[in-house]
Amino acid sequence: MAELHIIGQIVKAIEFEEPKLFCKWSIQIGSSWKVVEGESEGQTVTALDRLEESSTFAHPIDVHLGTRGVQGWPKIHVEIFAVNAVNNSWPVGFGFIHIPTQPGYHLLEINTWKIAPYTFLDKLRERFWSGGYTLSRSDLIYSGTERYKILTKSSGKVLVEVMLLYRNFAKFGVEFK
Amino acid sequence: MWRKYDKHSAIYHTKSKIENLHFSVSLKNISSLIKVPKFEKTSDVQSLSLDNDELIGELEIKWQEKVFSSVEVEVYSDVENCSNEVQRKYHNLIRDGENVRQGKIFTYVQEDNFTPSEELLCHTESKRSIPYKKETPDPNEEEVMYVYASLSPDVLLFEVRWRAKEGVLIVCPDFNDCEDNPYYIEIDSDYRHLYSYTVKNTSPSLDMLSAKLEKNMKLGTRPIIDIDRIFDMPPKHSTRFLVLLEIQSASFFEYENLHIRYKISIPDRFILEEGELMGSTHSSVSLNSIWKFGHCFQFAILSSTKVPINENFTIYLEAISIDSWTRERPEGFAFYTIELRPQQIQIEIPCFRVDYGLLERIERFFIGGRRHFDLEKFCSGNDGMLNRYRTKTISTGSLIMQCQIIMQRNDDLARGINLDNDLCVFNLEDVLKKHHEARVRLESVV
Repeated sequence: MAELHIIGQIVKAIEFEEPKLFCKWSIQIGSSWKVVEGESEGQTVTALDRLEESSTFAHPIDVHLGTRGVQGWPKIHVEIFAVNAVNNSWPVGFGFIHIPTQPGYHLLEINTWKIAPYTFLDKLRERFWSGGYTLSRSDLIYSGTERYKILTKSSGKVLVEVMLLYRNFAKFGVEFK
Repeated sequence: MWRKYDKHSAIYHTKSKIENLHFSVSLKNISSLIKVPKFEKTSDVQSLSLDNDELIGELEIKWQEKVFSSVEVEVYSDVENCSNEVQRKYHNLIRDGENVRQGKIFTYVQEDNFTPSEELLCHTESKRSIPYKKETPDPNEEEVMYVYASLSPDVLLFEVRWRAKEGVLIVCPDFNDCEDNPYYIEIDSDYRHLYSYTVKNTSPSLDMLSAKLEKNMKLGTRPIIDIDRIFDMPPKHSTRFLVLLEIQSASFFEYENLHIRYKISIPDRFILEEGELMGSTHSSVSLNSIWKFGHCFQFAILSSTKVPINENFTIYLEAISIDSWTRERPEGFAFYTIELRPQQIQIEIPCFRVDYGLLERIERFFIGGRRHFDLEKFCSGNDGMLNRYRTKTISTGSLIMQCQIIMQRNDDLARGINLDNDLCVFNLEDVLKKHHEARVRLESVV
């Protein structure tokens, strides 16, 4: 069994149109991986910045993963939600990124997207921050054969800092860069 | 007719020294399956014996006591056949002729470094296999001893394993009784030979507790599965590559609702193990003229060659826009060849579009006009497509991708380089063992 420690933080969300945001995150792993210790999913606080177009979360991640094979390499999955004045929330960013295959410090930029408003009324609703679309099935975020049928709109970026520690991979003939 | 008793392993726990272990093995030839009393013209009751079986051998053995077979005596009496320390020691023993035990029942001890072809220990009481290491165990952790009978062929009668650290003694089969449950051996050669044997624990001072009775003993035998060693390895002398790809973003394209279709071609000598080699991203509307995809996918491929050098895979990309009237417009084509070696790269791939002339541009504006274009053939040029000078292309946008490649090899020598001391020793042992085997083979030829 080889091991991987992911230690880091979800720093902030930038370039989002909506000001008040929170982030749900999870670490997606294949069947040969398992979480040995730590939380592999969570939710940050709701953050708002009055000066810049960014929301600082500084949410810690500390996961210890064990694996019996390289397939199903872990990914970080983030979902950014916007919150309006009447405490309604809706998703404004879905994003994925592979955990880098190199030990040490990495600053990851996750490009996110949201479901595009379809009708004029929806566009208007989104404009005035009173709700948006979400996916009926959450697995559509990462699977599906005809993905081009999902109409999305580019959204902001999520910055994640990770420090990676790899153990025993070399013993099983695994070579990174 | 007679009940064949299954051979079960038994686990015992003892705090005494293992040197105190004594056991006796007796082997009988069964001449008749039906136990009929022999009737002889005598009034003596004693002679009405039920036992027709002929005793071949009975032996009292101590822990790690070497008993030679006749073949071994023959082999070791010639010094030419002795290539290592242990064998030379046996030679001296046989030459001196002192304390040499030899018989139909013989043993292999820890020093012999012997591995039986069929192991008894697989059958436990619940008929589940005892999980123990298949590799040669560390002598500090586990010592073994085998008792064989030199019938033709040699038959493994009894197997003892001792784990000093845990104080656990594993025997297979369990000690038995010659009346109640003897073990049977069937050998079909010229006719069916039947043998029965019993193993008795004759240790004078060895307090043995059956591990069955003690719950915590189970814990003692638990860490035998070494989870540290479980890992999905590619087949011997082959290489696995795990490719992680991410289509991050696109820029400078003309129309909105853009999606990217991709196709990956892998070299012929590789087979796809996991993942898909084609797919598409979701359709995206730009923000500040950047289309963000963040589309991650991965695939694992396996090569049959030991060290693949200069092997590449190619990713073919096609950017397509679909507008609200479902008019599909080709936005760009691109391809990129990536070398299969451990690496982590970020690439910006420029895209082009074939310009068919004015009519096509009008067509593109009004009805979309996406046509089938064999990008793979166009790019590779393998299929006799040498002349491309009449093909006009227009540069369109560019794509940003990230590619990470992990390599996994199943090669002991390659792993030894990784400065892992344990593995280096293991390799050295491996090499010495191979050398020894080769020497024995050479000696047998010369």
